Amino acid sequence: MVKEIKVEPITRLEGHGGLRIVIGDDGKVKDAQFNVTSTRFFEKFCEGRYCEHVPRITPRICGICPIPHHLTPTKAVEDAWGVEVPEPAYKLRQLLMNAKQYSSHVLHFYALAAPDFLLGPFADPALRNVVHIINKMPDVGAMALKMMDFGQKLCADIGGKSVHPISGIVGGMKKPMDEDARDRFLKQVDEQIEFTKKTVEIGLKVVEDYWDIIANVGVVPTYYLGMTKNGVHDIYDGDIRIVTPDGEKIDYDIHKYLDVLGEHIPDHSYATHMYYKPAGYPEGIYRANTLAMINAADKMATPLADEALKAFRERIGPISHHTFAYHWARLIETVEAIELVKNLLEDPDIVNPDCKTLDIEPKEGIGIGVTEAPRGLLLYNIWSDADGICKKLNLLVATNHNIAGIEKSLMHTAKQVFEDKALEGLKLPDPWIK
Amino acid sequence: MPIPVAFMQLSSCWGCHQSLLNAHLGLLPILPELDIVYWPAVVDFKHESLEKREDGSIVVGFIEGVARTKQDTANIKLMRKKCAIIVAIGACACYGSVKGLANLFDKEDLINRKFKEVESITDEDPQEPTVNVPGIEDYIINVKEIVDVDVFIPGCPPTTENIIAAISYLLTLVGEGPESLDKNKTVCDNCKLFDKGCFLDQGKLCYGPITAAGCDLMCPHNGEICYGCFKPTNKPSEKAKQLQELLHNIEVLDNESAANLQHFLDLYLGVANITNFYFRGDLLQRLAYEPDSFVVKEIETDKGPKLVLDTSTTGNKILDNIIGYSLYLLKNDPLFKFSSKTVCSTCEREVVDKVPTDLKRDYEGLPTMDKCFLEQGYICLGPVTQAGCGTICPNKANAPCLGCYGPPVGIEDQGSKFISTLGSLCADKDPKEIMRVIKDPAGLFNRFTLADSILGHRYHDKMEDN
Ligand code: SF4
Ligand code: SF4
Ligand SMILES: [Fe+2]
Repeated sequence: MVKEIKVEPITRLEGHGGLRIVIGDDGKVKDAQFNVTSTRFFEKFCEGRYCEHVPRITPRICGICPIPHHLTPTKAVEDAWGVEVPEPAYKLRQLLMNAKQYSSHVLHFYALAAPDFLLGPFADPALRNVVHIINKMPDVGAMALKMMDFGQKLCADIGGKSVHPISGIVGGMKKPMDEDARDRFLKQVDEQIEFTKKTVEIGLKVVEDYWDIIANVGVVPTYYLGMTKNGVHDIYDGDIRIVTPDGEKIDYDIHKYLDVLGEHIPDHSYATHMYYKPAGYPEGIYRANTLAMINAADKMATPLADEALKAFRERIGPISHHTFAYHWARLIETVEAIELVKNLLEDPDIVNPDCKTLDIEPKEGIGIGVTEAPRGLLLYNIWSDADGICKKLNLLVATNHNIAGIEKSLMHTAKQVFEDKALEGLKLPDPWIK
Repeated sequence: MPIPVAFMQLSSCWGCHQSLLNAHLGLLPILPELDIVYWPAVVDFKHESLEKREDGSIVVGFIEGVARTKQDTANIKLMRKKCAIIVAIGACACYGSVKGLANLFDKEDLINRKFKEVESITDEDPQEPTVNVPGIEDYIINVKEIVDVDVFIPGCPPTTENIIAAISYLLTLVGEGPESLDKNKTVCDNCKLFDKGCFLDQGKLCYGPITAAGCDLMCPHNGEICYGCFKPTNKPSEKAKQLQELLHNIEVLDNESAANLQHFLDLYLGVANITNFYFRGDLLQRLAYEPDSFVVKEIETDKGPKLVLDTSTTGNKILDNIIGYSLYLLKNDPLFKFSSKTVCSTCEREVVDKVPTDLKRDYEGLPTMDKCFLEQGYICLGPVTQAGCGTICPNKANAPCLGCYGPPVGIEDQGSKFISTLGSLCADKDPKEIMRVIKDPAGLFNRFTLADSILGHRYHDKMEDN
């Protein structure tokens, strides 16, 4: 009998989706689908809005990463109008991005991912959540909450609001940080670095515990899409970097994105399938997000993070196709984020009021802005008319880059689990929380 | 006992949930009070488990997002069936938020752009996905037009404080109340004045006869009437009749009795103004927001037939008639005004008259932090936006208010209200100059409320005509 396995909805996910795996009479996996079941048409309804207001609409694409959705369209409009941004604004934006990266990665690790590892994949679903972790491991829970709180408060301070910020404006930022606030955050930042080190320890312990799974399940060769600035890991500014399944790295100017990134409309998901155009579909399916960024980087921007990258490569090699290594890659990025937060807070430009270009004229033009959001590369392509009204918008949104890749690794893993019975021989650790 | 609650996410951004989670350590005291039976973003219960729950068994259901897909619409109805109290959390669920701007376009245009025209699409003949996806609604209809909503928490997103306060309030509402509370007795039962010429005997409205026992009678024993803050009793005292008669003597309210009634209803049934959310169970708020949502009915009394507003708040005839008559009196009081503040009312900027100098687009120059935005020429929706956020954008980010808390009480359309406000502030300005800055009134003034506005309805009607 044909059997259909459904997961509806996928939980601990920011968005809407379900999984469907179809297994035939012969026990073979016939189909594996990732159905994204919601969409909101931002690409269309931003048409007709003032360009400078697009960044005050699009943060509502994602409440977890509204900051990239605020700054990336701002950069795109600046590109279209030919506007330069003063150095202090550039640094404020970097700080804002890294504060978000920090809180979002910690949220992902502790609230979305850790329940699987700390309770084990076969735990009672009623308990497999962050609330239970907080109850059972109160010290770790409190530490995680303090880390997210630091990142979110810093976002709120610079962005006005941590969810749906408003401080970015074409030409810079509406205000610098206050000195008082800067001092307050600086006082806490060393403690945060210690928390991050502890989190990495927990993460590495989990890696050892689950090594058998990481090394053997969901190891799926694909292309990767990341961003680097001259080869260095960067989430605010840089070039697109494609990594081939063999580990070759190819850089592209963001203005060439249409030569590089193709979009296929599947019949079973509102989120489209992205692929690397030169390789075609489906061969060119790539993945984005933390592992892709780590595969793309020659080095990290800060010393502790760079050490962490080296340790990762010693264990896994120069390129990793291990789906479960996404979590490890995320921790490396978390280390970089908190180190950068510290460096930037110490930079006097953060309180420099010269943070906005005053003379700005809209003009007809096409602009592109790119950042690396916590869930992957984020690209805005905006068409402005001479009055600065948005005529057209194309968005390649972070999570969207991963949809085809997720489906591909789902198929791969479903075959491993249902055809090769891979789970039977696997070594699972004793859960930390029973 | 933890209270069963469910969180439903429709098409949205998760931002309201993030705002709640931003309480971080502040969540620790609340979490043990909640029995989370559905919250896909955080816990692992699947949709099926929600469907299987007994109808009405979930005490509070939070809905975030808009009805963009057919599944969203079905989920709204499912939540209404399963939950006793429905809370619309955030601008999406209250007014449609920016997602409502999609109502400016035909569904076909939305679909064509996203699935067919986008520059990066490479398929030769791409089509709207239809397999294992729910289907797109023609346009966005607000949640409150699909089912009855009991509580509205506006904001995009509502602040963490707003959400925590609302949840704490709802918990006290459905919780057991203080231990001393005795719903089978009334304040009169222990009142020293009971047979010594009490307030009612003096012709003063005192609500002790219809209020549950359990307080320490501070008010009547200190010369103050009881305003009913221990909420309705199950067994009114014999003096309830006397209270009713006194009330029925009033035909038209004077200032004092109006204030008395309003204060009573506020404490007896209301939210006691702890947050900025709109709770329909608070009949005073409902009287202010939706006066016509009440049915007027006639009752027989000792003083002949009387008109009352039909509420079955308590299920007790005497109590409901007292409440209904009080509301009826207030409804016909031309001075009745439920205080609703605007963002401007908590703004720290210096304001003279809000009259703009030259109007500016937002990228022009850089506003100073100390003067009203409007006076500096920047469009700020503070005057037509409900207070509650703490005036974050103008005071913390040097950015004008975009209007995300929606209109204040009594204003139906935030956008048209702003246009008329701006019109009167700019009476002596060149209309061409004004038009340069407001080429996109829908996007600027109805950014969060289009699906709930006159503009949105016009579109809606057009759809219905076809
Ligand atoms: S219009 Fe804006 S800046 Fe002026 S007082 Fe109101 S909220 Fe403050
Ligand atoms: S100031 Fe206006 S736009 Fe900003 S959070 Fe408050 S209500 Fe929303
Ligand atoms: Fe897109």
